Formats: sequence, structure tokens, C-alpha cells
Amino acid sequence: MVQSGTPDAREPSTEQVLAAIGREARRAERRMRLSRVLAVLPLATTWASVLAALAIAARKIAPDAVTERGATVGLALAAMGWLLALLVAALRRLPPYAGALALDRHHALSGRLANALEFGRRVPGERSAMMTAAIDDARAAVRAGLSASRAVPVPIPGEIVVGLGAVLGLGLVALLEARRWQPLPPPLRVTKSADVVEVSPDDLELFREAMRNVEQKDESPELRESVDAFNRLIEDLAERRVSRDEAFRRMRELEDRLSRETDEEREAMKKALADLANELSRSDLAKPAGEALRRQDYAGARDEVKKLADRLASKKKPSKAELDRLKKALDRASRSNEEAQKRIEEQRADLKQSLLKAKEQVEKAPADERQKSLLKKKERELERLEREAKRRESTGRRLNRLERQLGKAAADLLRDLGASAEDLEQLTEDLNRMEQEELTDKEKEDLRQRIQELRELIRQQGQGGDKLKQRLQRFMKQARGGQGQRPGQRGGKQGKQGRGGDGQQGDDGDLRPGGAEGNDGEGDEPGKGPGLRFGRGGKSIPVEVPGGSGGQAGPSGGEGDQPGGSEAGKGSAPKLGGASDIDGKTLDVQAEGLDSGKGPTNAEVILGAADRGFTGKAYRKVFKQYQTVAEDQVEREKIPDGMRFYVRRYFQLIRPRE
Amino acid sequence: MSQSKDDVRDKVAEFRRSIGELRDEVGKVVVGNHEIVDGVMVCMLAGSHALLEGVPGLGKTLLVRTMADALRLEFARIQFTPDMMPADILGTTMIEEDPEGRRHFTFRKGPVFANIVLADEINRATPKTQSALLEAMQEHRVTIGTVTHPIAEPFFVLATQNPLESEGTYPLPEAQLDRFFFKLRVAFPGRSELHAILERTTGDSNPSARPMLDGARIKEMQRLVREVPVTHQVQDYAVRLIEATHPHHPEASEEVRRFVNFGASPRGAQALLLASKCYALFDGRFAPSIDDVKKAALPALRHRVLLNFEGEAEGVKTDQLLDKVLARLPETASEAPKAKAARK
Repeated sequence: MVQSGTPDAREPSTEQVLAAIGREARRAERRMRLSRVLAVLPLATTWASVLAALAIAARKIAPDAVTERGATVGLALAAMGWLLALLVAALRRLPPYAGALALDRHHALSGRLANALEFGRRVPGERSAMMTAAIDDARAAVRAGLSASRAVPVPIPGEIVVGLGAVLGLGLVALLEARRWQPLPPPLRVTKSADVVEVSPDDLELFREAMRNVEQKDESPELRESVDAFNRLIEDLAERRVSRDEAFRRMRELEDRLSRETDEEREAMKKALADLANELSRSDLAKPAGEALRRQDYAGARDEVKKLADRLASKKKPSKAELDRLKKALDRASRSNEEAQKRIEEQRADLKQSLLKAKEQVEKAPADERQKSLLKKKERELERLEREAKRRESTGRRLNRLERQLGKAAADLLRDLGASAEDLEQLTEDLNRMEQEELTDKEKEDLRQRIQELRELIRQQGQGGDKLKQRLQRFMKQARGGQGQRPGQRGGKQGKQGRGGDGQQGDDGDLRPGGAEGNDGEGDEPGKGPGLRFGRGGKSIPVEVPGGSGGQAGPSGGEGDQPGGSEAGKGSAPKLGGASDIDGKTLDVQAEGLDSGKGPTNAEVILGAADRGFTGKAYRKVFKQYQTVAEDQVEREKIPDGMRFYVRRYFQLIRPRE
Repeated sequence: MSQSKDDVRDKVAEFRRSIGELRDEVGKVVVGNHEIVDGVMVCMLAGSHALLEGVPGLGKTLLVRTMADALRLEFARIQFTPDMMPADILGTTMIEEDPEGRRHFTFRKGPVFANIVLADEINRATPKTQSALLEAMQEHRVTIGTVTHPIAEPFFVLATQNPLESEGTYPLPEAQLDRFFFKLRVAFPGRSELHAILERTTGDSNPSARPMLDGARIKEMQRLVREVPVTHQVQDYAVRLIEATHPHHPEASEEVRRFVNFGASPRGAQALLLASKCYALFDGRFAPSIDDVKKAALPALRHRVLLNFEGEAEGVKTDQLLDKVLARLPETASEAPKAKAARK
């Protein structure tokens, strides 16, 4: 039996010694496995690379003989072989106590560690005194410190270069293109595609932003559909995926749909409201409300209905005859749309019937041209009626609640005036709702406006060709501010963009920043170039806007600040000067700047904002002032649409950005 | 007998001290030859015998005599000659007359009944005489007629032989050779050693060794050697080493297959392990290592591996062959020789 001596408290126990030796021995064994892997790596990599290269080369040289699947299998086998070789090298069983023996060898311990580990495997009762002494003998070695990393160095084999070379060769084989004879397919018939439209990122962003605003204001499904279509078009333009023709076609379709929807719906609504107003006008009490509805003045109608409700609820009630007439008017009004719809349905049914008969006749006997023409006419009529029925249905949905409320009011009118007054109060809410729906029409109008702008933009590009495109790009660069300009050049000419009566290019006025007194703009052709003049210290901002240009007056022929027609006129106004007449009609607009005596001048604000890319609170404020004035004038004056576009576009390009 | 590890430590320390003293004492007379001295001590502590081989004049006999002087044991020297008979070694039965005039046979013990027997130039005796030592060396007893006479312990034979002179000599038979624990080759001394030999032997001083260890102490040390534990991996190495010397073994090297007639016997494995235990104790360790086995390999196996005719004809040396076997043999069982060679 072994009697162990009393262990020193500071000395590690026998088991601790064994555990420490075991730990370090395992570490040494791990390093041995790593060494094995590194020893195998070059050969395994070389063979795997050769196999993989053969598979790839075979696939490239003889694609008919070696399928894609076959090549993949070859590559997979090479990879698996490589992996297997490394795994076998790493996981192959090491000799017992290999780590401990390596440590013994390195630290010149004459097998003390390996012996200690083997004796330590025996249960303490089976250990002889000599064995215990042998384990204790290893304690000193542990105390001195064992180093697995020094005992088992992990050398990088020199042959790894061969392996790397093989991998490189594999890469080259993979990159090489194997050329082989192959009959060419018949030449394709190349059709000349239309030019791809280029729209500047600024413009694209502008349209995106506008659509976001429209979406935020209105979420009706019809409008959303149109907005989505427009957004798709914008994205296609951004990706340069659409030609000019395609863009115009899609815009036309979108605009047609919006116009059709808007115009037809408006027309149908107008008609339905007229019917309703007619019925209401039969009663003196409801006549004012009816008239307001006829005008589609929902606010006015609401006020009139409110008044009527108040009157019914007040002590001074209308006479029985008046009430009776009111009841009848309300009752008929509540059914007016329904009856109109019924009439249309009857007409449709009759027409369908006759159409069927006519078709049967045509099938039975050969028809002459007159009969065919009649048949086509009937078909068109049916289509029209179907469209009208659809519109009526749509209008009916919008008027449904209004009509129901009218019917209810009529039903309650003679029984209980108080209840009827309440019904009329409800009616005002419906009118409110209809007013809100009217807003949707405004958003549609806004969308139409954007489509027109986009169309104009593309059209202008098409007309100006590359030269105009380059000029616009330069203009946009300058509009963003500070690009390629030296500080000393800021006072110089910024660019030229004048206009003659027939679209000639003139010069803009000089733009002189902060403090420098600006000069009036002088185009190549005097009196024709619109100029912007910045006053000293930002005190005043005279803006010269053409009062009317030669040949641009509308049909109604206003001059100066007279309102023009809705369309561009033809010919030239006799009162206006010729192309070179400096005495052109102009209108001076004075926009007073705020002179607080503090902070930068407007010119400085603009210049600073341009340098920073049109950002900043001050610039936003200044921009708003200028844009308001410009918009006001552009709306007021008779300016061709193309020119309005330029003004708006200029402001769009220099809009504040955050 | 229960003992603590501290007892063991003390015993091993005492063993080491005794060996050191004996080595120093022998070193007073014998110059150099430390490995030979250690080998002789190993044989003594293993309870076996040693065969010293070397050309004349290298101090083989001196070494044995000095060893005998350093041990307080009965020493006998037998100078083997061709005309020597077995009875000259073992003893003989003589007719003796007692005081009453009656005659009876009495056994007169031969020189083999000493504790240390120096069999000088053993290969000069005839095989018959050489064989007379067989039983004594193996079983530590002598049987004459029907009577067996035990030999007092400790008993070990230190034989010497001259490899140069072949005329008039009788090479030791394999069975005889196998009974020697170690075959120690006494090499020619180096220059400094030669100087020391001349200084010691040509002057007026006559250094002699004092007796340091008695028989009881030696037996105690022999017991301690037997107590030394051996791990399986070390024992396995010894076994595989023995196997590797056999030409028909699957793991035998090409040289062994070609030049070896018979490999080492199990006595060789015993010698390897016992010797490695002794070497561990000499070093103050409590268990032998593979390196100890390697150290014991040449003296323990060189006389046990018998070359074939081709080996003899090619002039293959057993030591060179064993060196190659040792170099090729992996230290641990599952490690393939190729892997080890690659790692080296």
C-alpha cells in the first residue's frame, strides 16, 4: 500500500500535476496534428488542383463530351479529396503519449512526463510507492514550465510553393477561354431603336419628390394607381430603359386616363348634381341649396342646408304647403340619380336586344353595307351607354349617402320636424365629405401638371439636341453653385440665356453678388432678355419681367398686366415693339427685402447657399420670397408655356435642399 | 512490505550514492572506461554476468580485479586455457581419509564458487569446459554427480575474451553467449586517458580500491532494481526492438532480413528492461525511459543477434546493424516508420 507523504499546501497535488501535464501534452498533440495537416497540404492541394483543372479544361475544350454536371462532379471530387486528405491527416490517431513524449524530448526530461501520465492512469490504490515517486518527479518539470509550442514546432513545408503554384494554375485554367469553331447564327435584323431619354438626376429627384407629396395628400386607390404608373416611368427614365417615343406614349396614356377620369367624372357629377338641383329647386325652401349644388359649390350648399335645418328646428316653422313641397322635392331628389340610372339600364337592355337581333339577321343573311353600318352604330351606342352607366354608377356611389340622407329627411319631414332637422344636419356632413373628395381632383390635376412638365422637359431636350443638353447640364452645374468656379470669377458672366421672339438665345443679365451694384441685364438683342438685378445690401430686389413678348400675346390680346388668354396667341401685338425694339413692355416688380441691419444680405445668402449646394434656413426663406414673386408674375403675364417652363424649371433647379 | 514514497526517495538516493562511491573507487585504479564500469555494475545489479571483449592490454582484467577489490566479496580468477577441464572450474570429488582411517568422497569446490568470478580469456577453453559454466551462470548452482551445490549470492561472472586471436580459441557457443547479460567492448583509450594510465602505472604510487559495498548491500540494491516500475510504452519499445532484430518479423528492416540469421532471444528483452531500470536509478529517476532502453540496446543485444554467412562475408558489424534498427524503430507503436522518417 502506498503511503503518501503530507503534501505541502503550496505544492500542487498529484492530480493537479497530472492535469497540468495532460493539458500541455494535449496542446502538443494538437500541434502535431497541425503539422501533419501542413505536411499533407502541398501534396493534397497539388493533386486536387490538377484534378479540378482537368475537369474545367475538359468542360471548356469538349463541352459536348463533358456535361456541366460531369464537370461539377469532378470539381466536387477534387474538393472532397482535398478535404478528406486534410481530415485524415488531422484526425488520424496519434501514438499514445505522443505529446508527453515530445515534451520530454524537448525539455530533456528522460520520459518523466510520459511515465507520470501512464502511472497516473492507474487508480491511486494500485500505484506503487515508486510510481507515486515517479509522478512527483514530474512535478519539478511542471513547475519549471512546459512549452508545447517549443516542443512541437509547426514548420511550413517548402513544398507549399508547389501547391500554391498548382492553385494558380487552376485559376489560370478557369480564366482561360477555350476557343472552338462554332457556326454563327444567322445575322439578326437590327432595327434602329429610338434614342434613349436622358433626364438629369435633379429633375428625377424633383418628380419623385412631387409624387411623394401627392401620395401623402391623397391615398385614394385610383390616384395611387396613376402615381404608381408615373413613378414607374420616372424609374425607367432614371435607368434609361425607355426611349423618347415610349416615354411620350406612356405619358399620353397616363394623361388620357387622368383626363378621361377627371373630365368624364366631373361631367357625370355635374349632370347628376344638376338633376338633383332641379328636383330641389321645386321647393322654395331647398332652392338655394339646390342652386349651390348645381354650381358644385359644396360649401355654399352646406350653408344653405344648415340654414334650412335651423329653420326647421326653430319656432318659426314653414307652412304646411311649403313643407309638403319640400318633402316632395327631397323625395324626388333622393331618387333622381337612381331613376336616371334606371333609364340608362332600360336603354342599354333595349339596345342590346336590338343589337342581338341585328347580329342574328346578319348571320342568317348576307348583310349589305347599310345594315353593317347600322350594326356598328348600335354597337358604338351600346358602348357609350355602358360607359355612361359606369359613370353613373361611380357618381351614384359618391352621391349615395347624400341621397339616402335626403330620403330620410323627406321621410321624417312631416312626422317630426326635429328629426328632419337632424337629418339635414347629417346632410351637411355628407357635403363636407364631397368637398374633401373634390380635393382628390386637385391632386389629379397636380399629377397631370407634373406629366406635362416632364413631357415638356423631354420635348425641349429633343428640340435642342446635344448642344442644348450640354448647355442645360452646364446650367444645372452652375445652378447647384460653386462647381469649378474660382472666387474671383463670381462677379463675371454666369451664363447666357436670353430669348428672342422666335426662340433665339440671348444673354442673361450679369449676376453680381453681395454689395456690388448690379447692372441691368443686356442681351445680345437689347430689351429682350429678362434680367435679375440684386440691389445693394439687399434693400430692394427689382425683377424685370417681360410684359409681353412679340408674337406671344393671347387671343384676348392683353398687354402688360392685362390677363391673357389661356392659349398662346398668334401674330404679334401691334403695340409692342419689334424684335430689336428696346421699348418693350416690361413690368417692374419691387420686392422689399427685410433690412434688419443684421445678418447677411440676400445676395450673400444666395451665394453662400449656392456654395453649400442650396441648403440653409436663410436660403429657404429667400427662395420662398423670390419664387412667390416669380410664380405670381408668371401666372399673371401672358407668357408662352415653353417660357413658363423655363422660369419654373430654374426655380426647381435652385430649390432648397436638405 | 508497505513503504512510502519518501522511503523510496531515500532508497533511490542511497542507491545513487553507493553507485557513485563505487564508480569513484574504481576510477582510482581504472582510467576512463566509464561506460564499461557502468555496464559491469549494471550486470552485477541485475544479478547477471558480463562478457568483456577487447584487445590485450586495455585493462579488462584490471577492471574486473579492481571491481572485486571495491566490493567486499569473495573473488576468484580462472585463466582459461585449452587444456583446462570442467573440474578445474567447478571443483572435483576427492577421496579423503578421516582420522579413523575410513575413506569417503568429498567435494572440493572449484573457483566458480566465489561471488565474483573472473573468467579470463574464456574463449581459449574448449567448449566442454566453457559449458561447465552454463549451469552455474544461469542457475547459480553446480551439480556434480547427483549432488547440487548452490553458489553463494551475489554471484556474477566477468568473462573476458580477445577478438583478434583466432588460432587456438573456441568461439563461445550461442547458448553460452546468451547467458551473458552484457557484452561490453573495451575500446582503446583516448590520448588524455593514455596519459593518465602512464602516470598511474609508471610511477611509484600504487593506487588500489577500497572495498565499498558488501554482499548484503548489493543484494539490497538488486532488490531495488527489481522494484522499479516500467511503463507499458517502454516495455513495448523493448519488445518491438527485439522483434525488429528477427529477420522473419514483418517489421524487420531490409538489412536485418539480409544479414541476420537469428534475432535476439527473450533474455535480450529481459536484459534491456533490467538494464534500463538500472540506468534510471543511476540517474536518480524512478522509472526507465525509452532512451534508457536505447542505451542498453547495444551491450545487451550485440552478442545475441547472430549474423548469417552473408553478413559475416560482407563484414557487417552487429553494432552498425543495431544502430540502424534503433534509428528506424518508432518510439511508439502506432507510429509508422515512414511518418517518423518524414518528421525527422
